[in-house]
Amino acid sequence: MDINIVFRIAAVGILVSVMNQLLTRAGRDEQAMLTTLAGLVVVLYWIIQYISDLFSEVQTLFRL
Amino acid sequence: MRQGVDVYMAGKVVGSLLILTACFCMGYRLSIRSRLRLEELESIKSAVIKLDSALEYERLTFIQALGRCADVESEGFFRSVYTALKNNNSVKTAWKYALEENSANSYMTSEDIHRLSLLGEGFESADADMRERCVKDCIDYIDSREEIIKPDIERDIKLYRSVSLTVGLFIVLLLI
Repeated sequence: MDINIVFRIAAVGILVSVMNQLLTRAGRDEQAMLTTLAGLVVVLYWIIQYISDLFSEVQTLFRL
Repeated sequence: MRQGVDVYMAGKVVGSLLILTACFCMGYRLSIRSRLRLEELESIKSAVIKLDSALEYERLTFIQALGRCADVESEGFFRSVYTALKNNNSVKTAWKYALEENSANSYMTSEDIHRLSLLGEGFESADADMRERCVKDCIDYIDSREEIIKPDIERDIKLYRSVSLTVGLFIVLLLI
């Protein structure tokens, strides 16, 4: 696992929170929520493979 | 090898800058839309007031009064109507032609254009009372739009510019 993924997730988190604040203060709560969801989807897309690998490792380790 | 990596990194930097610039330009264009719409509406309002006073008090013909309005906005809707009327078209045809010609490049919404078309119907009618009512309705409508748009202009400018830059950064982050 590359350490860059951690920095990318952090950067996405910061950007999403900034956009969320900007849109909420402008009274556009729905767009703010959609932005948050989009950020969440993007990060999940990045880490889904690692989660899958984690479950495989746990299965192998405990011979499940 | 190192040279290849440098070129690769330079390409990434240039691409990132291009994406950020494109997003900022889009945000800038969206941010000035409200202000430009307001300016167009104010220009039309002053032209309508001038047209109405020329018809009401100076008793000019419609085409003469329209010539005065065409001077208020150097290029735009009333100039198109004036040009079409000078080519021997009826008021209805000239108004319709001007609406079609100007609506594509205009920042006015469909409701603004609909109100403008109602104004045209008022001028087409020979009834002075109807004309007065249509002019008054048009001016009241523009005043009401101004009251709604003006407080939001500054907020929209900041919002669109900052959100567009943030979206640009987001896209750069996704693609890097």
